[in-house]
Amino acid sequence: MSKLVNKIINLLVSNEVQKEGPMPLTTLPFSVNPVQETAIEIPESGQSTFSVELSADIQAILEQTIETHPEFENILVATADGFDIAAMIKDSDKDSIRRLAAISSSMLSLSIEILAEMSAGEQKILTLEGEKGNVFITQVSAETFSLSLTVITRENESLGKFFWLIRQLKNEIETVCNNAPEQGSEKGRANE
Amino acid sequence: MPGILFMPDYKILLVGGSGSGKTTAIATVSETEVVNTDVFNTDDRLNKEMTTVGLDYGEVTIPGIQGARLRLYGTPGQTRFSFIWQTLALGSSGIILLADNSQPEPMESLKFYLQYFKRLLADTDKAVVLGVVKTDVSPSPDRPAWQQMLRESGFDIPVIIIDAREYDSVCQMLITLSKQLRLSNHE
Repeated sequence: MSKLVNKIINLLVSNEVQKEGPMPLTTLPFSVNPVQETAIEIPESGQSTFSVELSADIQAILEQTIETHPEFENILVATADGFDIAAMIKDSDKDSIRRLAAISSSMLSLSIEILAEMSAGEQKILTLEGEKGNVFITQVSAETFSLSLTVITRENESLGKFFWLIRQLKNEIETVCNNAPEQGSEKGRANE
Repeated sequence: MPGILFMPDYKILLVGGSGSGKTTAIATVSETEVVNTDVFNTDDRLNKEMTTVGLDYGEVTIPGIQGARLRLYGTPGQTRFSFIWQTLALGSSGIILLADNSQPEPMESLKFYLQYFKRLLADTDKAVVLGVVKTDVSPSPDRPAWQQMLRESGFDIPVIIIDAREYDSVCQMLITLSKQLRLSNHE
Protein backbone atom coordinates (compact mmCIF):
# COMPACT_ATOMS: atom_id res chain seq x y z
CA MET A 1 0.00 0.00 0.00
CA SER A 2 1.18 3.44 -0.74
CA LYS A 3 3.67 5.33 1.32
CA LEU A 4 1.61 8.47 0.86
CA VAL A 5 -1.42 7.19 2.75
CA ASN A 6 0.83 5.93 5.54
CA LYS A 7 2.40 9.34 5.71
CA ILE A 8 -0.91 11.18 5.87
CA ILE A 9 -2.15 8.86 8.59
CA ASN A 10 0.99 9.31 10.63
CA LEU A 11 0.56 13.05 10.36
CA LEU A 12 -3.08 13.09 11.31
CA VAL A 13 -3.97 10.32 13.76
CA SER A 14 -3.24 10.58 17.46
CA ASN A 15 -0.30 8.98 19.23
CA GLU A 16 -2.75 6.87 21.24
CA VAL A 17 -4.12 5.32 18.10
CA GLN A 18 -0.65 4.67 16.73
CA LYS A 19 0.31 2.71 19.85
CA GLU A 20 -2.15 0.04 18.77
CA GLY A 21 -0.05 -0.65 15.69
CA PRO A 22 -0.39 0.16 12.04
CA MET A 23 -3.88 0.44 10.68
CA PRO A 24 -5.09 -2.15 8.17
CA LEU A 25 -4.85 -0.06 5.04
CA THR A 26 -6.73 -2.64 3.09
CA THR A 27 -9.84 -1.09 4.58
CA LEU A 28 -10.13 2.66 5.09
CA PRO A 29 -7.53 5.31 5.85
CA PHE A 30 -9.31 7.02 8.77
CA SER A 31 -11.20 4.13 10.32
CA VAL A 32 -9.26 4.12 13.55
CA ASN A 33 -12.02 3.39 16.02
CA PRO A 34 -13.25 0.23 17.72
CA VAL A 35 -16.47 -0.01 15.73
CA GLN A 36 -14.57 -0.85 12.54
CA GLU A 37 -16.41 -3.59 10.73
CA THR A 38 -14.81 -6.47 8.95
CA ALA A 39 -13.29 -5.31 5.67
CA ILE A 40 -15.76 -5.35 2.83
CA GLU A 41 -15.27 -4.30 -0.71
CA ILE A 42 -16.05 -0.62 -1.22
CA PRO A 43 -17.50 -0.09 -4.68
CA GLU A 44 -16.22 2.61 -6.98
CA SER A 45 -17.78 6.00 -6.38
CA GLY A 46 -18.51 7.79 -9.62
CA GLN A 47 -16.42 9.84 -11.98
CA SER A 48 -16.05 13.58 -12.39
CA THR A 49 -16.98 15.45 -15.55
CA PHE A 50 -14.34 18.10 -14.86
CA SER A 51 -12.64 19.39 -18.01
CA VAL A 52 -9.75 17.16 -19.12
CA GLU A 53 -8.04 20.13 -20.83
CA LEU A 54 -8.19 22.25 -17.69
CA SER A 55 -6.92 19.31 -15.62
CA ALA A 56 -3.90 19.11 -17.93
CA ASP A 57 -3.23 22.83 -17.52
CA ILE A 58 -3.36 22.50 -13.73
CA GLN A 59 -1.13 19.42 -13.88
CA ALA A 60 1.47 21.47 -15.78
CA ILE A 61 1.39 24.10 -13.04
CA LEU A 62 1.94 21.45 -10.37
CA GLU A 63 4.87 19.95 -12.28
CA GLN A 64 6.47 23.36 -12.63
CA THR A 65 5.91 24.09 -8.93
CA ILE A 66 7.51 20.86 -7.75
CA GLU A 67 10.48 21.52 -10.01
CA THR A 68 10.91 25.07 -8.70
CA HIS A 69 10.14 24.26 -5.07
CA PRO A 70 11.36 20.76 -4.15
CA GLU A 71 10.38 21.44 -0.54
CA PHE A 72 6.84 20.71 -1.74
CA GLU A 73 6.79 16.92 -1.47
CA ASN A 74 3.30 16.29 -2.77
CA ILE A 75 0.56 18.41 -4.30
CA LEU A 76 -2.98 17.41 -5.12
CA VAL A 77 -5.82 19.36 -6.70
CA ALA A 78 -9.33 17.94 -6.44
CA THR A 79 -12.85 19.03 -7.25
CA ALA A 80 -14.94 20.34 -4.36
CA ASP A 81 -16.81 17.03 -4.37
CA GLY A 82 -13.63 15.01 -3.93
CA PHE A 83 -12.40 13.85 -7.33
CA ASP A 84 -8.67 14.19 -8.06
CA ILE A 85 -7.95 16.19 -11.20
CA ALA A 86 -4.18 16.84 -10.96
CA ALA A 87 -1.46 15.54 -8.68
CA MET A 88 2.27 15.38 -8.12
CA ILE A 89 2.52 12.56 -5.61
CA LYS A 90 5.70 10.62 -4.88
CA ASP A 91 5.57 6.85 -4.38
CA SER A 92 1.85 6.69 -4.68
CA ASP A 93 -0.83 4.73 -6.43
CA LYS A 94 -4.12 5.83 -7.93
CA ASP A 95 -6.14 4.49 -5.00
CA SER A 96 -4.30 6.58 -2.45
CA ILE A 97 -4.68 9.70 -4.59
CA ARG A 98 -8.42 9.06 -4.83
CA ARG A 99 -8.71 8.67 -1.08
CA LEU A 100 -6.62 11.76 -0.39
CA ALA A 101 -8.84 13.77 -2.77
CA ALA A 102 -11.97 12.69 -0.92
CA ILE A 103 -10.47 13.29 2.52
CA SER A 104 -9.15 16.72 1.51
CA SER A 105 -12.48 17.91 0.14
CA SER A 106 -14.23 16.63 3.24
CA MET A 107 -11.80 18.34 5.62
CA LEU A 108 -11.92 21.55 3.62
CA SER A 109 -15.71 21.65 3.82
CA LEU A 110 -15.66 20.96 7.56
CA SER A 111 -13.03 23.65 8.20
CA ILE A 112 -15.13 26.16 6.27
CA GLU A 113 -18.15 25.21 8.40
CA ILE A 114 -16.16 25.62 11.63
CA LEU A 115 -15.02 29.10 10.59
CA ALA A 116 -18.57 30.01 9.60
CA GLU A 117 -19.93 28.75 12.93
CA MET A 118 -17.43 30.92 14.79
CA SER A 119 -17.95 33.90 12.45
CA ALA A 120 -14.22 33.77 11.81
CA GLY A 121 -14.41 34.81 8.19
CA GLU A 122 -13.30 33.17 5.00
CA GLN A 123 -11.11 30.09 5.11
CA LYS A 124 -7.52 30.80 4.10
CA ILE A 125 -5.38 27.75 4.79
CA LEU A 126 -6.09 24.68 6.91
CA THR A 127 -2.80 23.63 8.48
CA LEU A 128 -2.09 20.18 9.88
CA GLU A 129 1.23 20.20 11.70
CA GLY A 130 2.75 16.76 12.07
CA GLU A 131 5.95 15.47 13.63
CA LYS A 132 7.47 14.68 10.27
CA GLY A 133 5.89 17.25 8.04
CA ASN A 134 2.92 19.46 7.37
CA VAL A 135 -0.25 19.26 5.35
CA PHE A 136 -1.90 22.41 4.01
CA ILE A 137 -5.36 22.43 2.50
CA THR A 138 -6.90 25.47 0.89
CA GLN A 139 -9.74 26.36 -1.39
CA VAL A 140 -9.05 27.45 -4.96
CA SER A 141 -11.89 29.82 -5.73
CA ALA A 142 -12.30 30.28 -9.45
CA GLU A 143 -15.05 32.58 -10.69
CA THR A 144 -17.46 29.78 -11.42
CA PHE A 145 -16.35 26.81 -9.32
CA SER A 146 -14.04 25.85 -6.50
CA LEU A 147 -11.36 23.20 -6.00
CA SER A 148 -9.33 21.93 -3.08
CA LEU A 149 -5.55 22.30 -3.10
CA THR A 150 -3.58 20.01 -0.78
CA VAL A 151 0.15 20.47 -0.27
CA ILE A 152 2.39 18.19 1.77
CA THR A 153 5.76 19.55 2.81
CA ARG A 154 8.89 18.37 4.55
CA GLU A 155 9.62 19.14 8.17
CA ASN A 156 11.88 21.98 9.36
CA GLU A 157 10.66 24.59 6.95
CA SER A 158 9.12 27.93 7.83
CA LEU A 159 5.32 27.87 7.87
CA GLY A 160 5.26 31.50 6.72
CA LYS A 161 7.26 30.61 3.66
CA PHE A 162 4.82 27.82 2.79
CA PHE A 163 1.80 30.05 3.31
CA TRP A 164 3.25 32.53 0.84
CA LEU A 165 4.17 29.87 -1.73
CA ILE A 166 0.79 28.15 -1.45
CA ARG A 167 -1.03 31.43 -1.99
CA GLN A 168 1.08 32.00 -5.12
CA LEU A 169 0.20 28.52 -6.35
CA LYS A 170 -3.47 29.00 -5.53
CA ASN A 171 -3.54 32.32 -7.44
CA GLU A 172 -1.87 30.70 -10.44
CA ILE A 173 -4.44 27.89 -10.55
CA GLU A 174 -7.29 30.36 -10.14
CA THR A 175 -6.00 32.41 -13.08
CA VAL A 176 -5.83 29.34 -15.34
CA CYS A 177 -9.32 28.28 -14.26
CA ASN A 178 -10.79 31.73 -14.87
CA ASN A 179 -9.27 31.90 -18.36
CA ALA A 180 -10.62 28.48 -19.31
CA PRO A 181 -13.92 27.90 -21.15
CA GLU A 182 -16.83 27.50 -18.75
CA GLN A 183 -17.12 23.74 -19.16
CA GLY A 184 -17.22 22.01 -15.83
CA SER A 185 -18.23 25.17 -14.06
CA GLU A 186 -20.73 25.25 -11.28
CA LYS A 187 -22.58 28.23 -12.77
CA GLY A 188 -22.74 26.49 -16.09
CA ARG A 189 -24.08 23.34 -14.48
CA ALA A 190 -26.50 25.28 -12.32
CA ASN A 191 -27.94 26.97 -15.39
CA GLU A 192 -28.46 23.75 -17.31
CA MET B 1 -20.10 33.71 30.96
CA PRO B 2 -23.39 31.90 31.55
CA GLY B 3 -23.34 28.15 32.13
CA ILE B 4 -24.85 25.77 29.64
CA LEU B 5 -27.58 23.36 30.72
CA PHE B 6 -27.06 20.06 28.98
CA MET B 7 -30.31 18.24 28.19
CA PRO B 8 -30.38 14.51 27.61
CA ASP B 9 -29.85 13.83 23.95
CA TYR B 10 -29.22 11.05 21.50
CA LYS B 11 -26.82 10.91 18.61
CA ILE B 12 -28.56 9.54 15.54
CA LEU B 13 -26.67 8.59 12.37
CA LEU B 14 -28.35 8.84 8.96
CA VAL B 15 -26.91 6.37 6.49
CA GLY B 16 -27.73 5.61 2.87
CA GLY B 17 -26.71 6.07 -0.72
CA SER B 18 -26.35 9.38 -2.49
CA GLY B 19 -29.80 10.85 -3.15
CA SER B 20 -31.56 8.86 -0.44
CA GLY B 21 -32.67 12.03 1.35
CA LYS B 22 -30.30 12.29 4.32
CA THR B 23 -29.54 15.99 3.85
CA THR B 24 -33.17 16.79 3.01
CA ALA B 25 -34.58 14.89 5.99
CA ILE B 26 -32.30 16.71 8.42
CA ALA B 27 -33.08 20.11 6.87
CA THR B 28 -36.81 19.32 7.00
CA VAL B 29 -37.02 18.70 10.75
CA SER B 30 -34.04 20.46 12.30
CA GLU B 31 -34.96 23.11 14.87
CA THR B 32 -31.47 24.60 14.70
CA GLU B 33 -29.52 26.00 11.79
CA VAL B 34 -28.29 23.02 9.82
CA VAL B 35 -24.59 22.37 9.37
CA ASN B 36 -24.30 21.58 5.71
CA THR B 37 -21.24 20.60 3.69
CA ASP B 38 -22.90 20.30 0.30
CA VAL B 39 -20.84 21.23 -2.73
CA PHE B 40 -21.51 21.14 -6.44
CA ASN B 41 -21.61 17.62 -7.78
CA THR B 42 -19.42 16.93 -10.82
CA ASP B 43 -20.56 13.33 -11.29
CA ASP B 44 -23.30 13.25 -13.92
CA ARG B 45 -24.32 9.74 -12.98
CA LEU B 46 -25.76 11.00 -9.70
CA ASN B 47 -28.33 13.24 -11.39
CA LYS B 48 -28.19 15.84 -8.61
CA GLU B 49 -26.74 19.31 -8.38
CA MET B 50 -25.30 19.22 -4.88
CA THR B 51 -23.67 16.48 -2.84
CA THR B 52 -22.52 16.14 0.77
CA VAL B 53 -18.76 15.75 1.30
CA GLY B 54 -18.39 16.16 5.07
CA LEU B 55 -21.47 15.78 7.20
CA ASP B 56 -24.91 17.22 7.80
CA TYR B 57 -25.98 18.13 11.30
CA GLY B 58 -29.27 19.21 12.81
CA GLU B 59 -31.18 18.92 16.08
CA VAL B 60 -34.80 18.11 16.82
CA THR B 61 -36.87 17.38 19.90
CA ILE B 62 -39.37 14.59 19.55
CA PRO B 63 -42.66 14.55 21.51
CA GLY B 64 -42.72 11.75 24.04
CA ILE B 65 -39.08 11.75 25.12
CA GLN B 66 -39.57 14.59 27.64
CA GLY B 67 -37.34 17.27 26.21
CA ALA B 68 -34.71 14.89 24.96
CA ARG B 69 -33.06 15.99 21.80
CA LEU B 70 -32.04 14.02 18.76
CA ARG B 71 -28.73 15.13 17.26
CA LEU B 72 -28.92 14.10 13.64
CA TYR B 73 -25.67 13.34 11.80
CA GLY B 74 -25.96 12.79 8.07
CA THR B 75 -23.16 10.86 6.40
CA PRO B 76 -21.91 11.59 2.88
CA GLY B 77 -23.47 8.89 0.74
CA GLN B 78 -20.80 8.34 -1.87
CA THR B 79 -18.44 5.49 -1.05
CA ARG B 80 -15.29 7.55 -1.59
CA PHE B 81 -16.24 9.29 1.67
CA SER B 82 -16.57 6.01 3.56
CA PHE B 83 -13.48 6.93 5.59
CA ILE B 84 -15.69 9.22 7.69
CA TRP B 85 -18.61 6.85 8.27
CA GLN B 86 -17.22 4.93 11.22
CA THR B 87 -15.94 8.10 12.86
CA LEU B 88 -19.39 9.66 12.65
CA ALA B 89 -20.92 6.46 14.03
CA LEU B 90 -18.95 6.68 17.29
CA GLY B 91 -21.25 7.16 20.28
CA SER B 92 -24.45 6.92 18.26
CA SER B 93 -27.63 5.72 19.96
CA GLY B 94 -29.50 5.06 16.76
CA ILE B 95 -29.16 4.57 13.05
CA ILE B 96 -31.57 5.67 10.36
CA LEU B 97 -31.07 3.76 7.14
CA LEU B 98 -32.45 5.48 4.08
CA ALA B 99 -33.15 3.77 0.78
CA ASP B 100 -33.96 5.44 -2.54
CA ASN B 101 -36.70 3.46 -4.30
CA SER B 102 -36.07 5.30 -7.57
CA GLN B 103 -32.64 3.68 -7.97
CA PRO B 104 -32.36 0.77 -10.44
CA GLU B 105 -31.50 -1.71 -7.68
CA PRO B 106 -32.41 -0.09 -4.35
CA MET B 107 -32.17 -3.30 -2.34
CA GLU B 108 -28.68 -4.07 -3.58
CA SER B 109 -27.62 -0.56 -2.63
CA LEU B 110 -29.03 -0.95 0.89
CA LYS B 111 -27.43 -4.38 1.30
CA PHE B 112 -24.02 -2.71 1.01
CA TYR B 113 -24.82 -0.46 3.98
CA LEU B 114 -26.32 -3.36 5.94
CA GLN B 115 -23.08 -5.24 5.46
CA TYR B 116 -20.86 -2.26 6.19
CA PHE B 117 -22.66 -1.38 9.43
CA LYS B 118 -23.47 -4.98 10.31
CA ARG B 119 -21.99 -4.92 13.80
CA LEU B 120 -23.57 -1.62 14.73
CA LEU B 121 -26.96 -2.73 13.43
CA ALA B 122 -26.74 -5.96 15.40
CA ASP B 123 -26.11 -4.04 18.63
CA THR B 124 -29.36 -4.44 20.57
CA ASP B 125 -28.77 -1.11 22.35
CA LYS B 126 -28.97 0.72 19.04
CA ALA B 127 -32.29 1.98 17.74
CA VAL B 128 -32.62 1.33 14.01
CA VAL B 129 -35.21 2.19 11.40
CA LEU B 130 -35.32 1.98 7.61
CA GLY B 131 -36.92 4.88 5.76
CA VAL B 132 -37.76 4.32 2.11
CA VAL B 133 -37.98 7.45 -0.05
CA LYS B 134 -39.23 8.28 -3.56
CA THR B 135 -41.93 5.62 -3.57
CA ASP B 136 -44.00 8.16 -5.52
CA VAL B 137 -41.46 7.80 -8.35
CA SER B 138 -41.12 4.04 -7.98
CA PRO B 139 -43.65 2.19 -5.78
CA SER B 140 -41.72 -1.06 -6.01
CA PRO B 141 -40.25 -2.62 -3.91
CA ASP B 142 -43.12 -2.05 -1.51
CA ARG B 143 -42.94 -2.11 2.29
CA PRO B 144 -43.55 -5.88 2.69
CA ALA B 145 -40.79 -6.56 0.15
CA TRP B 146 -38.34 -4.41 2.11
CA GLN B 147 -39.35 -6.14 5.36
CA GLN B 148 -38.81 -9.52 3.76
CA MET B 149 -35.39 -8.51 2.44
CA LEU B 150 -34.34 -7.33 5.90
CA ARG B 151 -35.57 -10.53 7.54
CA GLU B 152 -33.74 -12.64 4.98
CA SER B 153 -30.61 -10.57 5.68
CA GLY B 154 -30.98 -11.30 9.38
CA PHE B 155 -32.23 -7.89 10.56
CA ASP B 156 -35.38 -7.06 12.49
CA ILE B 157 -35.77 -3.41 11.54
CA PRO B 158 -39.00 -1.37 11.22
CA VAL B 159 -39.65 -0.08 7.71
CA ILE B 160 -41.37 3.25 7.05
CA ILE B 161 -42.25 4.83 3.73
CA ILE B 162 -41.37 8.52 3.99
CA ASP B 163 -41.12 11.74 2.03
CA ALA B 164 -37.92 13.41 3.24
CA ARG B 165 -39.34 16.80 2.24
CA GLU B 166 -42.38 16.50 4.53
CA TYR B 167 -42.02 17.42 8.21
CA ASP B 168 -44.75 15.06 9.46
CA SER B 169 -43.36 12.18 7.43
CA VAL B 170 -39.81 12.53 8.74
CA CYS B 171 -41.14 13.06 12.29
CA GLN B 172 -43.09 9.83 12.05
CA MET B 173 -39.86 8.02 11.27
CA LEU B 174 -38.11 9.71 14.18
CA ILE B 175 -40.95 8.79 16.55
CA THR B 176 -40.65 5.15 15.50
CA LEU B 177 -36.94 5.35 16.19
CA SER B 178 -37.44 7.15 19.50
CA LYS B 179 -39.69 4.37 20.81
CA GLN B 180 -36.71 2.05 20.48
CA LEU B 181 -34.52 4.62 22.20
CA ARG B 182 -36.84 4.59 25.19
CA LEU B 183 -36.84 0.81 25.27
CA SER B 184 -33.10 0.50 25.06
CA ASN B 185 -32.12 3.39 27.32
CA HIS B 186 -34.83 3.84 29.93
CA GLU B 187 -36.11 0.38 30.76
